[in-house]
Amino acid sequence: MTSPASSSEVKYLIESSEGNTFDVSGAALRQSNTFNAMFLNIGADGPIPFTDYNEATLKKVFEYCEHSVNEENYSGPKHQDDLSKWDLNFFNEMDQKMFIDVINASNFLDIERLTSYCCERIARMLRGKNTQEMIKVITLPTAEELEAKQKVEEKKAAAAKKVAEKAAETAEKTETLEELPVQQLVQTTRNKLTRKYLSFSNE
Amino acid sequence: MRILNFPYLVYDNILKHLEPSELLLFSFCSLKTRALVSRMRHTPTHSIFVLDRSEEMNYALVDQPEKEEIVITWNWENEKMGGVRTERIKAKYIDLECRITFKKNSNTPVLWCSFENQSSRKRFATSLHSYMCEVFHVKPEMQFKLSLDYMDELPNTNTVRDVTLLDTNFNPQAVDQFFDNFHVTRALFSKSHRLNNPLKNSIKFHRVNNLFLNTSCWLNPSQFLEMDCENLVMAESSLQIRDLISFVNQWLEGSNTRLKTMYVLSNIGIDADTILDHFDSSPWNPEVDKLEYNKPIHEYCEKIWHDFIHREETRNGVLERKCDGLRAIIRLSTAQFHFHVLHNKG
Repeated sequence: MTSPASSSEVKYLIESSEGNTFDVSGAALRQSNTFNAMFLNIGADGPIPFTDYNEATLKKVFEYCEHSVNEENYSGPKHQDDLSKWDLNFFNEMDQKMFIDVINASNFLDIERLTSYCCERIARMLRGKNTQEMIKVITLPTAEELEAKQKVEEKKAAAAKKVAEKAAETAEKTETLEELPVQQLVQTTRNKLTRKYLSFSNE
Repeated sequence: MRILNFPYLVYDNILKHLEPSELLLFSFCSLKTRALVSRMRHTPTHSIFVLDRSEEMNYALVDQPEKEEIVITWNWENEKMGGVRTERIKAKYIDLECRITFKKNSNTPVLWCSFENQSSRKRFATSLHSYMCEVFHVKPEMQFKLSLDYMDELPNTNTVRDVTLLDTNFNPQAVDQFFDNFHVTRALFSKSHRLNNPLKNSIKFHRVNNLFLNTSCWLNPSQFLEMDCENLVMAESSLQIRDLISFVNQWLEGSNTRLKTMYVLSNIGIDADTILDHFDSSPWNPEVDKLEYNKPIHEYCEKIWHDFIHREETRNGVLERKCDGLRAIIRLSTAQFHFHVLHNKG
């Protein structure tokens, strides 16, 4: 239920992964470069499907867009210390899963301001941390864990190699058995031909 | 939070918010994080090894001289390492036991990593630079800022782009040894304020392309006349008028073929009339013969130049040498002597 996009009064219907739909104002949607590129000029019939993201995530993303409609044009990332109280509350009330979903949705919708704020927030988690602490933040395996994992993998590879060798041996034996009748057949034919040739030469 | 599972644009955006020192530590996390940092669009820049105290080396990125951005401070003081839990950092060129702390005010990471012998330390410093070249696209030519007391800790290289010499215990052999070991390809900046300057009595630095001396009262006339640089800037000079006249005469006779700019800020005052009346000069037309300076001068002498350009000189004139027709402008004020060779023939 959509139409010409220029007016901020126009509402667009957004469809989430659950198939639910909800309204978003044109002004809020226009902060998404993905939307601008896809629908702004041609309009959309029926709900706009953003079905890779659930309703809660999309609502959170568009809540941000609705709020920042009246803010001045985006001019590069803002430091977290310069964020308004509303912005800080917006980020603080999200749990980690929701935060990750919001980043992914914001990245897909190409909402520059929101993506940048989220990324700055993650960068803050890494700031002032040494390498080991950073590894924990980004949940990478540590050097010891990697070594242990490598040992397990080596053991697995060795075991798999043994199994493969055994299988190859078995297959070789089977092949020899299967080949016997054929060899016998060839030999018989050869014998017959030799005999025939010999009798011919005797004549 | 599994940052590395995000789409490329997201973690690229995250990394853009990190300082070089933070990116360096992030690149140590894994091969993938190293690849991510390496893939970022780094502005190619130079780096500098700063050695101004014992058992510590700063590695900094530097776009403008004297405006270093320290990426990591490396401390190999063994005593302070005792009893502290170390961690293992493993990357392509680096695999070591160490610990990392942060300086309180600047948040600069301090890498505590002791090596018993000097050659290991030199190898480590060289490896760190190789790593920075590969991951941060740092330009391979090294630069040093050091007190010559710690010269033995410098990384393995034969050529150095720029060198800044800090105050040091006076040891003339150290200077000659330094210039025997390293070929300075661009600039030498002596920042020492001591009368017993490390360069005093050395003749091995006279042919460095760009020579900038913060204090030059130790420079004697014979050393001065042996200089063969492209650009020579000296502050706090005690050279007499006759020395400056001898230098110009030498140039007029055909020596100092590489010279572009020579600037002397005198301690004892300059009599402009005596100098200029000594030569047969013609008037200088700034509209036709413009002063153009090389990059190192802009980088190292920005402040001096700014002051000089905005100060009215007492007298000026243009000299021409007969052997090749080259011309040079002499500009003089009560304390300044500026000799600028015009490489476009008039």
